[in-house]
Formats: sequence, C-alpha cells, structure tokens
Amino acid sequence: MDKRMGIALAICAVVTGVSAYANAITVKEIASHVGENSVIHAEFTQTRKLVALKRPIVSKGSVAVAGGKGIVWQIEHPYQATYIITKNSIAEVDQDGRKKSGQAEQAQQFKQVTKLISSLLELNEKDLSENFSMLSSGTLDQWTVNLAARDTLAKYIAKITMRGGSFVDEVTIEETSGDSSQIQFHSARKDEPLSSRELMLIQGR
Amino acid sequence: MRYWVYCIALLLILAGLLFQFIGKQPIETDLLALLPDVKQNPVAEQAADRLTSLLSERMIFLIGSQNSVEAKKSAEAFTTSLRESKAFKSVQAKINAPDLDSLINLYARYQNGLLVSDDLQALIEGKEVLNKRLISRLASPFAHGMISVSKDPFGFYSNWLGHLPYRNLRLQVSDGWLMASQNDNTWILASTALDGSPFTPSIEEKSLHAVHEATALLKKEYPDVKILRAGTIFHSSVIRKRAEQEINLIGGVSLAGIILLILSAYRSLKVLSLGLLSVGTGICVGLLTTITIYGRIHLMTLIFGASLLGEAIDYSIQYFSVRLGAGESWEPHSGLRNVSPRLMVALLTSILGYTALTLTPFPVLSQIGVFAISGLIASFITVVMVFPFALSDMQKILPRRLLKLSGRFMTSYKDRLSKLHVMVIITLILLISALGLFKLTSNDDIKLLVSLSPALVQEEQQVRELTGVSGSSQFILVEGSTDQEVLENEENLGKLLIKEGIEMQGVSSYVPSCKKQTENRIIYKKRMADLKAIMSDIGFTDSAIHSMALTARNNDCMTVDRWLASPISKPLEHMWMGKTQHGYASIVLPSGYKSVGDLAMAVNGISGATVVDKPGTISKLIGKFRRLAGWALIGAIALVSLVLVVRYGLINGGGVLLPTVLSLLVTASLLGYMAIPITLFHVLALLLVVGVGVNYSIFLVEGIDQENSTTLGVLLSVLTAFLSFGLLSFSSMPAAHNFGVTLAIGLFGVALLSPISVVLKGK
Repeated sequence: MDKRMGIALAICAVVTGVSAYANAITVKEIASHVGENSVIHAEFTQTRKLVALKRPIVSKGSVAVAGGKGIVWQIEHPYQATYIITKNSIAEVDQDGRKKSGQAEQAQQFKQVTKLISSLLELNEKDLSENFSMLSSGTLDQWTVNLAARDTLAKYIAKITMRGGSFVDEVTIEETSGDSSQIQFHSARKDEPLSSRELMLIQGR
Repeated sequence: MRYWVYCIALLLILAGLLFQFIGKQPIETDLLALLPDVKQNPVAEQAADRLTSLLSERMIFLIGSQNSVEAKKSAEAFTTSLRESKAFKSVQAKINAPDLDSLINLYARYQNGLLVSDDLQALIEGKEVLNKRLISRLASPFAHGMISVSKDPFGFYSNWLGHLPYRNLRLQVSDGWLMASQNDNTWILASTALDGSPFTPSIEEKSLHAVHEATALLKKEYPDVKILRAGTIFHSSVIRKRAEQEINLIGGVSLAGIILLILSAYRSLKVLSLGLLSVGTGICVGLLTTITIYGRIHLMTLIFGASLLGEAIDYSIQYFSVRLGAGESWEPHSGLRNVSPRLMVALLTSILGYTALTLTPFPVLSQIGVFAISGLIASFITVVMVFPFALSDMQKILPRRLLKLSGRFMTSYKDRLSKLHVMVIITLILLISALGLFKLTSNDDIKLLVSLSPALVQEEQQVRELTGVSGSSQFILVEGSTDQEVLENEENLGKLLIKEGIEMQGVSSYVPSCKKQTENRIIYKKRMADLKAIMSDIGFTDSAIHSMALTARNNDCMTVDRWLASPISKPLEHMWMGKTQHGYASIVLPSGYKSVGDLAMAVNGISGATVVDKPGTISKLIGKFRRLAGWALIGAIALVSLVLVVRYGLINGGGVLLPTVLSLLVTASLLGYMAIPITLFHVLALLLVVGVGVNYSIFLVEGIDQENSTTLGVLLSVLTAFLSFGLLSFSSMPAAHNFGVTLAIGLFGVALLSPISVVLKGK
C-alpha cells in the first residue's frame, strides 16, 4: 500500500464525482448531481509542495473521464505525458497509446490501488469505507468531503479534502511526511463526446 | 491329529497378525512409496522433497465470499474451530502484516548497488535523461513509488523494491488476513501444519474430522461462503477410502463367487470350509510375511492380494476334483499322491511368475510378489497337510449334470480337433497376432500409478491460480561452489531464459550477486555529481541533497545470509538450499515455457543449472522397467518351459506351454487392435498369465484319467480367477485396472485354448 493509491484514488473520486457521503446528501444524489457514468472533460492544475523542495512544482493538463470505462490523464506542462487508468491498471502510454517500456510491472500494492479506483468508478461505498472514514458537509451546490485514511494507508496519507458543486473543484492530499498536493479543476464540461484519440487510448493498448 | 496342530498354528498366526496390525498400523497409503527411488543427483532429490513438503504436510484453505467482511468473519470462525480441535501442530490465519518499512529498511543500506536495468541505463546515459526522469516524477500524480520523494528523489530504490517479484504472489494483506480477489469474490487464505505425516491414518482421521467440523460450522453460520482446499492429505484420504471400498468389493464378491461355485460342484459344507481354510491361511500368511519383511503393507498390495483368492483356491479345487473323480475308490493318501505332483508343478510355475515381480525395484510390486508367493505356498501346504486327514470319506452327492457338461466340453474339443486343426488354429493366431503386435504402442506416464480425484485436482488448481503459489514438480536446480557463484549462475540463467521468453523466480531476484551489486555501485557513484546538480537546479533543499549523497557511501553487498535473517524472506526461504554435498545450491522456478523439453533445451549448457523434472524422470524409469519386464516375460517362459520339459518331455511339455503362449500373443495383440498403449502393468499381468495360466494345462494333462472331474475343476479355477482378476479391472487405480483386465483376458484365453494340450497329448 502506498500513497500513490491515495492520490490516484482522490483524483478518481474527483473526476467521477463520487464525493459526498454526507449525512444530509446521499451518495446517489451527489453522484447523479455531478454526473454518474457520463463523460466529463476538465482542465487541471496540480501544485505539489514537498518538504525537500524550496519551491512548489506546478503541472498542468487535461483529464477525460469516460463514464466508468476509464480515465485519460494528460499532463501538458512542464513535460508531456499521458496516463490511462482502467479498472485493472494504471499505465503511462506514449503518443501512439502503447504502454511505455521499462515501466515497472504492477506490484500487488498497485493492484490494490486499481481495485479501489474501480470501486470508486462503481460508486462502491463498501470498498471505499474499508480504507477511509468519510465525513461530508454542505449542500449539493457547495459541498466538502473529508476522507481520513485507515490502517496501513494512514501511515502515508494524513488527510484528503475534496470540494465541489456541480463538478469537483478541488482536491487536497496531505501526506504524513509533510508533503502535500493540491489539484484544482476548471472548465469542466459534461457530455462532450470523447475524442477519437481518447477512445483509442482507453480501448486500445 | 495333524489337522488340529495346523489349526492351532493358524490361530497363532492370526493372533500375531492382529497384534502387528493394531500395534503399528502398518497400512501404507503414501503413493510415492509406489515409486522406486530415483537417485541421479541427491541434491536434486533433496530440492524436490523440499518443494513437495510445502504441500504434503500442510492443508491450505481459501475461504471465499462476495462480501469481504463476511469472508474475514467466516475465516475467523473457521480457523478458530480448527484451532480448538487441537488436531494440528499449528493453524495459520492472521499474520503480522509484512511491514513495508521492514522491507525498506532491510535493503536501504545497500541501495547504491540495487538498480533495475532501466535505471542503470539512465545512469549510464547521463544528466539529461536523469533530469527528465526527476521532473516527470515530481509532476505526475501517479509515479510516486514506495518511498517519499524527499528520501528517494530519483526513485531508484523505489523502483528496485517495486520490481521484486512479490507480484507473482497474488495475495495481499487486509486487516492481517492474506487475501486474494477474483471477479466479485474475496478469498481469505488459511493453512494448517499437520501433526505428522499425511499418510498416518490417525493424523488423517483427526485432521479431516476437524476440517469437517469446521466446515459444517461455517456452512451453518455462513451458508453462502465457499471453501477451497489443497493438500496431499485430501488426496490420500480419498485414495484410501476408495481402495478400502475396492478391497471389500473385490474380496467380498470373489469370496461369494467362490463359495457358490464350490458348493454347486462339491455339495458339502465341509469341503467348502476346507477350501476357505486353505485360502484364509494363504492370505494370513501372505500378510504376515509381507509385514515382517517390509514393516508395512501398501494398500495396493491389499487390492492385488484380495484378487489372489481366485488363484489360491485352485489347489483345493484340484484336490476336490480328484476326490470327486475317484468316486468309491477314494483313499485320501493315494489321492494325495495322485494330486500333489500337479500341485507342485503348478505352484512352481506360479512362483516363477511372481518372483519376477519381487525382483522389480518397485517396492509395491515386490511386496505383491512376496505376498503372493508366501500365500500360495501356505495354501498349498494346507491342502497337502490337512485335506487328507480332514476329508477321508468319498464324495457322496455327485454334481452329475455339471460333470456331464464338463465332460461334453472336453470331448467336443477332442472329437472335433485333429492335430491338423490345431496347426491351423496356431497359424491363424500367429498371423492375426502379428498384425496386432505391430500396432502396439506404449505409455509410461506416471499417471498410470495414481489417479487423483479430478474434483480435488481442480480445487487445487483454483487455489494455485488464486494465490499464485505454484506447486510445480519441475524446476531448475542451480549449483555453485560458493553462494556467490550460485547467484551469478542464476543471473546468467535468467538472462538466457528471458531470451526464450521464460521468466524465472529465484533468490538472485531478491539478492543480486555481489559482482552485480558492485558493478551497479561503481556506475552510481560516478554519476553522483550530476545527480546532485540536477536536484539543486530543480530546487531541492540542501539537506535533501545531502541525504541523497549519503547513499553513495556504502561499499557492502546485500548477502543471502542477511536476507535469510529477515522475516521478509520467510515465504521464499525454501528456494535457498544453502550448503550441500556439492557446494551451494538454490531452486529456481521457471514459468512461461511450453514443455519440459523446451526448458531443458534452454537450460542446456548453462553452467551449474540442471532441470529437475521428477514426474519425467519417473516416467522414464517406468519405461525402463516395462522393457525389463518384457525380457522377464521371455525369461519366465523359458524357465517354465524348462520345468515342463523336465516333467513331461519335450513334445508334451511344449503342448502344455502352447495355450499360454498363444493366449499371451492374443492378449497383447488385442491391446494393439484396440489402440490401448501397453504399460508396465500390462506386461506384469502377462507375466502372471504365464505363472497362473499354465496351471490349467498342467491340471488337464495330469488329470487325463479322470477327465470329467478334472475338466470341472479347471473350469472352476478359470471361473474363480476370472471373477477375482476381472473384478480388479473395476478398480479406480489405473495400474490395478490394467493389470486386472489383462490377466482376465489372458487367463480366459488360456482356458479356451488349454484343451489343445490334451489334444496334442492324446492322439
């Protein structure tokens, strides 16, 4: 189990819109509000603050969520890279959609990550609650969810916070080491069809 | 008087037997005990044992449910029940989660020598590549690795830890449980260590009872939960139960058949009880001798032994036939003088047949031989010592119709067959057999010995798939004069195998050779200045750069001893054999090869590496013995014909042997026509056709002056043999089945053809 999981998890939570297991608002409400199983496109800005770094590292790019089929995560700045997240794997791919060589095969911990992601994709609260305790507040238009990691994960992830309204607007992951990552989403569009490249990336390989 | 002495002696034997049975539980069910010792390389043998014992003295369970919480709860209930039964040495359920930290700490000091090939390549290529790697690592939300960026900025150490083939194990830890998932099911692993050998009946009984109880409990509380089992003990239990049923069935039915046949022919309870006394003595003495010599008796021996009933009764039947044939002129002692020569010749030929079995290196076959020889001798002695005293009066009620029938059978043969006819028959049989023999193929697969329950095999296969733990008996033994040489040989092997698309798992994946670590370390150290500069450019703090630079200091190698000392190595420590009589050795598990042949080809010529394929080796050995048994068959025919020529002269002796030889040819060619590959057990059965079948001709030729009663006796013998050996063909053990079918066909053939001996002698 590693913190990749927490981070990947949070991102997926964000983009799929699984967000608030609120007392006031139910999962189903949030999910349909943010757009369960629909195609969502958005731009993102990630800011990482590391204890070991004098200044934060900022990266930018776009994300496409193919309603349960997979996620395309494209970094455009400071370098170009594409990651494909499906139910069973996370992989970096090259321009042609081929899995990059030299990438470490998926270790068991990584499989746990993908399993959690898929449980997120399926809005599987049962699986999620095995690793996090969740607390939510606000309204459908302005909600906040706090996820506190349990067990082994708690050694690495201190806290995950998600905020949003019609879409997920922001995810903050704080690690026990003092490092933190903040991902902000903007220009989110619902139901814009996947581009042919995105389709190829998700289905191909 | 002698009658009573004999009966008392018999009682003593039985008492001794019972004492032996109760005292030591001498029934062997270990199927490996069937096999001869394979001793090509003792180290390879030890390695094979090491891998087998992983499964043989354990039970492995997977408890599955669609609900992971329920799976864990039911696993808890299951293992608690197992533990409370106190039937096991230990029950393993929850484990102390193999801490990621202890893995990180174990290797941390030596990380400058531990590099995956990709990182090594980047270090060789230089600053630009390394810079790109670091930036992408920092900017990507996915490429993080096990260790935080501040402690392992470039991710070299993370990558190395991540490449460890733990991923081959499909198990993960959840709440302290070892867990596997497939589709919607969650499976929890639990295992027990047996209190002793899985082949000890008391261990088997209490272990399986405990499992049964725990399963029942689980089914009651969690009816939807599934349990998968793996372990030698489950197989041995199924085989034992099946074998016990077969012994009872074969023994019971052939006994009933014998009783019916004898009663219908000789119409006397006294005759019947004498017959049973002779057979009973034979079996008891057989058991006693076998146990005395071997210490234990194998279930397979008992199955074959139960079928011996049919042969042991022959001596009694001949005696009764002579008495029946003598009618009013019956006088026990002259009767005995009349019958004993043929019994002796028959016993001698049978012993010759069984001796061949005794001489094979298959422990079980030699047991069967010893069992049969001692048992037959005891039956023979009973007939000659007891029968004349116990059966002094003539037979009063005659089975007239049966006698007439038998007489007609023989006369019709004699009337219709001239010597010319016989010649034609012989020629025809030779021609037809030659064609069939030409079609014969052979099979020496180890599966001939053992037929495992397919349901259990499937369950084990499922356990293997889910856990990723292979129980393969094919592996590569890597040897070297030092532990470092073993590791280097493993690394060379790995490089060559990967070219053939074969992956391997070995200790060198976890502990690279010191040579390789040193090579890595030199490259790493050379690039230190560049690494520092890259970090400084990106904006790392001085303390982060400093602690990265500290990793360059180490000059030591990670060693196997250090690895073994850590609990991290626990699941894999059996792969390292350590010091052997040749030096050092380790076990490497290959995967992704098509056949053992391909693997052997790939490994061929790599120093220190040997492919060990136990089933293959055993199959080769079985083949060797099949050919050996073929020669023994020819030898046995030669010996028997010698006995026959001494007793009957050249021509008549040949006439007595002829039916047996012809039947052998017919039986063997039948296998050819039916496209059944000939196995060791077919050949061994043919060997016994020689020993037993020739008796029929002997009896017929010797009893020619009491034709009707002798023919009746031989017919009874054939029927009893057919009954007992024929029943053996219903055995679930392929070996016993092949053996039984061949013997039944062979003996039936001899019986049909044996009047030829009389025809050849008579005219």
